[in-house]
Amino acid sequence: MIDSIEKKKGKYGHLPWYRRYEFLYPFMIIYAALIIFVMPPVSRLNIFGYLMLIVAVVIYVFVLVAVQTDREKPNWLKNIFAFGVILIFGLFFYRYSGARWSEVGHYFFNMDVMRRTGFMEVGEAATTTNWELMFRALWTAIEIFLMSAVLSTLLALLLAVVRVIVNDKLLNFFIELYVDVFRAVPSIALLLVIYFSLPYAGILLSPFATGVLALTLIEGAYLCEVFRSGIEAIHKNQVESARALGMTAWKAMKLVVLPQSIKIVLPPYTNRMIGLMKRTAECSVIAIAEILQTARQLQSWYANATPLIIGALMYMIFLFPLTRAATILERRRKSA
Amino acid sequence: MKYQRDSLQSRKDFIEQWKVRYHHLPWYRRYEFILPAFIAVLLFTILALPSYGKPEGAVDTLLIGIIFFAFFAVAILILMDREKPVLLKRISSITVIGLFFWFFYRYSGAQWDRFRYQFFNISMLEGVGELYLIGLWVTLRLSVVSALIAMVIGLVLGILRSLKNPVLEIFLMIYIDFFRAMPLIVNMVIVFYALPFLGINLNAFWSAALALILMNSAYQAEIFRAGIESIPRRQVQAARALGMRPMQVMRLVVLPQAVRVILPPLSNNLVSLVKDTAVAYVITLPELLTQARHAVIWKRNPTPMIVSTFIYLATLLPFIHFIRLQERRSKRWLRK
Amino acid sequence: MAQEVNSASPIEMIRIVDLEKYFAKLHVLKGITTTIHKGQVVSVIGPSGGGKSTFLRCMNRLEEPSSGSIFIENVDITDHRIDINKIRTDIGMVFQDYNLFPHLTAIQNVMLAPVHVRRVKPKEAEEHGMELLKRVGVTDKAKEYPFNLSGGQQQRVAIARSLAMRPKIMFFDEPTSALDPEMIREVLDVMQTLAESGMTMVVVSHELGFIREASNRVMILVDGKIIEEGTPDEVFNTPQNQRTKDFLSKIL
Repeated sequence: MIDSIEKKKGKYGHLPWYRRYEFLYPFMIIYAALIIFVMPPVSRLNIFGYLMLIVAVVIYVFVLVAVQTDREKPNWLKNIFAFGVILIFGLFFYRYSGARWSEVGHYFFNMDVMRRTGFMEVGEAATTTNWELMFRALWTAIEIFLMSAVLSTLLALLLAVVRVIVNDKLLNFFIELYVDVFRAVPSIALLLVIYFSLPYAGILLSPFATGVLALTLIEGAYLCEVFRSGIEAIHKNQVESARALGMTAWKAMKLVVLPQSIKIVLPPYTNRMIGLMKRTAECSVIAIAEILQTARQLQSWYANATPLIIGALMYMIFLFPLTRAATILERRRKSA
Repeated sequence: MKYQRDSLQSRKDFIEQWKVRYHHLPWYRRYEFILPAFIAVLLFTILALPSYGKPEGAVDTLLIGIIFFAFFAVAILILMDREKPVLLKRISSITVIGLFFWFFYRYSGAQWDRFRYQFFNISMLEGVGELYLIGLWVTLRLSVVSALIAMVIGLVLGILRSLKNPVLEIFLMIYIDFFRAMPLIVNMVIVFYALPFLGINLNAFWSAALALILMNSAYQAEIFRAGIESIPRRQVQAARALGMRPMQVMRLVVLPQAVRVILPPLSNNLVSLVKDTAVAYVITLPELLTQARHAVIWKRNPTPMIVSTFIYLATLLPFIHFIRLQERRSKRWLRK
Repeated sequence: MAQEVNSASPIEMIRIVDLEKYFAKLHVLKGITTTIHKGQVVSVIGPSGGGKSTFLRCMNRLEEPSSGSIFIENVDITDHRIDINKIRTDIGMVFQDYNLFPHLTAIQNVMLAPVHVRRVKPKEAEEHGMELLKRVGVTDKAKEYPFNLSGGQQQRVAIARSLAMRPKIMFFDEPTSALDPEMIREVLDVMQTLAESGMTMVVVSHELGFIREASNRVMILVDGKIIEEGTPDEVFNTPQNQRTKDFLSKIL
């Protein structure tokens, strides 16, 4: 017994105190006990309580990193420790966020609200359910997305090709100016300016056209950068060798540059498209009946947050897999 | 006489030479085509197109569109041609830009006589200064607070991700992808309008900050992880072989190199964070855009809105330009 | 000539007993037992994939050995109780692809470890560093960043960086195989003067000329085992093992 303790001491003698089992095991046990028995149950905390909470979180993160970076700890311990820490953070949120969890079902997942009809009781709307309204809104969002996706892609392709291939100083200056300006303007500001300010000067656009125009202008600027860097990443050597084989500039572009560029451009392009779909939600500020706008109206009419949650879920169903796919694409390109 | 005959002969020669010289060019690149085309399109623009005002009917619109793109195509032909003189190129690029603005001036349907009064009317800014100051202060505070907190959380999550623990990996992946897929505006609306149903009451400022922090920490976690992982293992091993401890390796070798990888995307992220503070407009936080909107309603003149857009531009444009320069420089550094 | 001095006073520097290394299921080192004395210059050659690099990297535990012991100056470095970072300061290592730190100048590269690991004053470290750069012949490039140096210059700075820790042993992991032919000579010259100064060295290399001239012992490592060792003359001129003969016939 004593021998084995001595042996253990010898084995772990070189470790700093915070990486020894003598510290880690009691730490985990005492902390778990503290959380279960000593800390207050579901409630709000005062300022001091929240400070303590932050301190606890910081300590946990440090110990977590210390355990995870330790080469000599077995993997099962690392996994259990990580799982425990996540669990405890979840517990913290459950207990001390001050939410009335019993009402989540009623306010956030109330399908009854969604099944009701007669929202605002105007004309046709009297017989449509709120589900249908939400799906119509989804379709509007998709329409805006598709229109501005196609238009901005065309615009950006044109500008990027002019920038890289034509490479005329004056044109470059104006293209760069366009790109920088529309990357610096918040999309909401642009929407508001086009929709509420341009009519003062006699330019009247429908909400839908405003949405498509604003999103196209902004997205075109970002995509122009994406395409430009995609083409430039290939440009020089490859084009030179293609030209040396007797290809014309256009053929070199079509046969050599574009196929390679597409691979480079695809991950950031997917990311931009995800961003564009997200940005259609901002069209709600100019009264387009897209997802967010409809959800908010329903929410305030029924005093229930379910439509908002459904709206958020609609975005998630589309965008979560896409985000994942974009990440994987990006990784694959980097590892290739 | 002799002189005349000589010159006549040489003129013939000249035409012969001309033919030989440009024989290899396809018809659309020869001067015989390009110069007349150039001038014809210009003349057509000036003489045949309808005068000021919004084009009425599809025919006019189509005509204007076709004319512009025809001109654009001819200009591109000139600009892409290596053998055309610089002067001609300059003239054509200037004409393209000029024509673009000219068309916009003529056919956008804007009442330009009211333009200055409506959009750049300094007298309408009287008394608005205080609104702007409040708005700027709120925007600044919101940007700084959420940027700092998001960076701390992002760094911690990034380090945790680079540890490669499967349990943490799954959890962080879900967190990061969720908040990258969720539109910021939806997130903000849910925090501000939906959470109170559960008894979680955050004021507008902290709702906006929370939504910004959640989204940007997710983006930044990826940035930091990519930065840390971009340092090749052999760099770490070279440092370890010199007897450095893991923390020293991190501090002296990994982080100084990772900074160069992290800095461009991080500063891009921070710029878009500042821009995204404008989204807080929808939860009535008195930030710059909201205040400008108030001023527009008060003065019945859109100048304040235009000015606020220019404030965003003036603050963010230099950053965007600087980041672009940095990006180019760091790419050069990495290529070596 | 250095050989005679060493054989007269053999002080044990490295002793390896039954060293084995697995990468998952791949058996890379299959029981290596050998002793290296102070002042010896040992060349390790063998076909690629034979475990030469792994062998070197196990000796300063950049790779954890799967089993067996490695004694450096009679300290078992596979024992977890020892502080491997202290041991590593006594062992210099030069890599195939130089691995200079690209964010630091040549002289900063050389100074970094002495200042932060040995806690030498920056000024002293700089003086010593300049001296070393002079020894390897790149004084004029001291203030340049690695990407402004040629491969040969980078590798010589890397040697200086290792020497700055005043190591007792130097490991060279194919130091010339990433270099252009005209730069190989300058690096080998530096290594040769180092060998003549009595440094204990273990070199993984294919430079037969260098091995003949500078080293006094050659090990042939095939399939994770040392199949033959001896002086360069013995191994190159009268190989005993059939596989040695096969290998030598390919490279000579």
